[in-house]
Amino acid sequence: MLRIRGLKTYFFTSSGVVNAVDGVDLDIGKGETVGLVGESGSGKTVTALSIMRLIPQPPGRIVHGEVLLEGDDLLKKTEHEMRKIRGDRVAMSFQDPMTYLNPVIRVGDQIAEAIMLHQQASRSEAVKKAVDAMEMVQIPSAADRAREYPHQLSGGMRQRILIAIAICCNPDLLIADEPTTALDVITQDQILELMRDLKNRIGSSLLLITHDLGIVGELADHVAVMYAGNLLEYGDVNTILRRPRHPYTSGLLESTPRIDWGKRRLKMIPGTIPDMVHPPAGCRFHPRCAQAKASCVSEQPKLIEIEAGHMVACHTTK
Amino acid sequence: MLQVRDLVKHFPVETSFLSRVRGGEKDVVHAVDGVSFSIRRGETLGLVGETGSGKTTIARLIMRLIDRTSGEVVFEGKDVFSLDKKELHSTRRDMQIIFQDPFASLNPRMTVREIVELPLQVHGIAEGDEKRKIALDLLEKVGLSPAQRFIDRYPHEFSGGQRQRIGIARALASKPKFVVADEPVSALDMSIRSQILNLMQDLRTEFGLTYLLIAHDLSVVRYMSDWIGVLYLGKIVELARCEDFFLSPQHTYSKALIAAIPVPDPTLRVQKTRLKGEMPSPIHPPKGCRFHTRCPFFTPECRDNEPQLVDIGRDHMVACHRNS
Repeated sequence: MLRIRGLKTYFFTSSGVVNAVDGVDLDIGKGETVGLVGESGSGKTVTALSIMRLIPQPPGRIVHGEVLLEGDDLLKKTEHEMRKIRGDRVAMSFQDPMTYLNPVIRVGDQIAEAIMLHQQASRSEAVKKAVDAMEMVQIPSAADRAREYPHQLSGGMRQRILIAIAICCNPDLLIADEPTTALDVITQDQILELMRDLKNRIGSSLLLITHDLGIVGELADHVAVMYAGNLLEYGDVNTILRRPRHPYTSGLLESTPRIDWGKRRLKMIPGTIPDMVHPPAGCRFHPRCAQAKASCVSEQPKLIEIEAGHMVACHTTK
Repeated sequence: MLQVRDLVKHFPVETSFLSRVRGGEKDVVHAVDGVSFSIRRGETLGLVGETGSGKTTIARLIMRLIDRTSGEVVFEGKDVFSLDKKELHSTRRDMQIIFQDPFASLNPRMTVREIVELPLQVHGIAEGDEKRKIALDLLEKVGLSPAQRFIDRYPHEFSGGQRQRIGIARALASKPKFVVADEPVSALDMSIRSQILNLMQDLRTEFGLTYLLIAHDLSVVRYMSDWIGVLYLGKIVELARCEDFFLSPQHTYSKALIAAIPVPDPTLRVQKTRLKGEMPSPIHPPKGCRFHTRCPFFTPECRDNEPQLVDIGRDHMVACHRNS
């Protein structure tokens, strides 16, 4: 469905070139949920914005690669063509609803706007469909809520509105960037359940961007782990969360407090996230890796399939 | 070490001129509404709750950064709200706070040296060379090593995790007995959190600290705490020893909180009972049990009478009519 090959997105800043995404390959199958996991600066959001062709230029630029949607390279589309694709075939919901919703337009009208743009619908039809979309994301008394402004809604409700905008045109691919990060656990759980339900109903593929391995465990079929612009590990969710092979993935899993673990001492990944203007040579994780050897410093490991469907970029797994 | 008794904090809501002329009753936010708990020396109490449950307000009340509406905070036998200025100053030497946001809580115009040395100076603990030595020592203890290299830099030169370490060094400078940690890791990246949590545990042993940990993440609280208190709309609904709490959570809200936490293991994906709706407004909290509007088991009694926090055995306290 979606096939990303050799994607490189760089930012040309006054302090130097930031290789935010540096050669990423990723496939998302039809109806599949892929969890893209990484910390701040890993390049996960830049990957999503590159798919959407929403990289602010300057300073950013997609310098290399292909993003094939059903075989069609989105990176070769004109801006005019992209406008038709965005929101219709590929839609994205963002982390912070307050930044992406217009504060002076009623939420129902904001959903209707997306519908009018992509479907030959009259205003009244679009508003009706907007209310349907709000019902689909389980907003109670949707018809009344449609006439409210974003500030009148709670954080959870705003996130539902963003999701309603994203799904109102039944996209082939939905990208959800940290959909629950700003929310409390109970609201988060409600939104995750909603996304699971919607995905089954409209059959979209889902690219779920998150820093939380727990959310991946709840929702994803496959998991891709990013660090400092590189993909370090990819596989199905069971493999990645139960038998990870990359030291970064296993380090993250063992250093995250878990509700079912109690007080067993957490492992630590030493050091900090690298400065992306001067990333470490070789494997970008090597300064923090307990297993690093000479080749890790000199040569960047390639993503290699070590067993069926399980890819790892690490010299130590060979 | 610390007893909080029936603590109440109401924040007035800005009302329009017209409603004031009409002479309506003034609205207040019931941020903290009758909270009692105690923390024993050397133990850690974790307070969990969602946004608006009142947990940060409790932290600020205990530190007397804001004034109470009523109730007491007794620290080592003295109510902190009855202390005069001088007494408060010397008490603050013994109680310190670590803040959530390592970017907002350090003065950008001060070097790390100035930040860490300030409490030493304010409390007259050390001067000159000795002050300098203590500051270097503290930075080494919180893992900023070699401290010589870091001490004359400014906060913006550090990452989030390093800044949180500076914040911890500042909190420990006056050798406090009691430390409030308000969401100490929620602003940090995943790979940095365990560094800070383990550091806090090591420092607790080394300095013999007593912690009040405020967090929304129940997994962090479980890892760190001896006791757990669950807050809902300004009230404690359950308070128990950590292991007891996770073995047999009693309150429906506690159970829902535990169930809502995602676990990074797909084999543990389970069909769970979910709470519907959202937390009601703290301006007009529900009558009776504040949780009754979302509780699947509520009865007319829950609407009419407010359940009290009662001990159901082994120091396990629950505020629910189903348990009494």
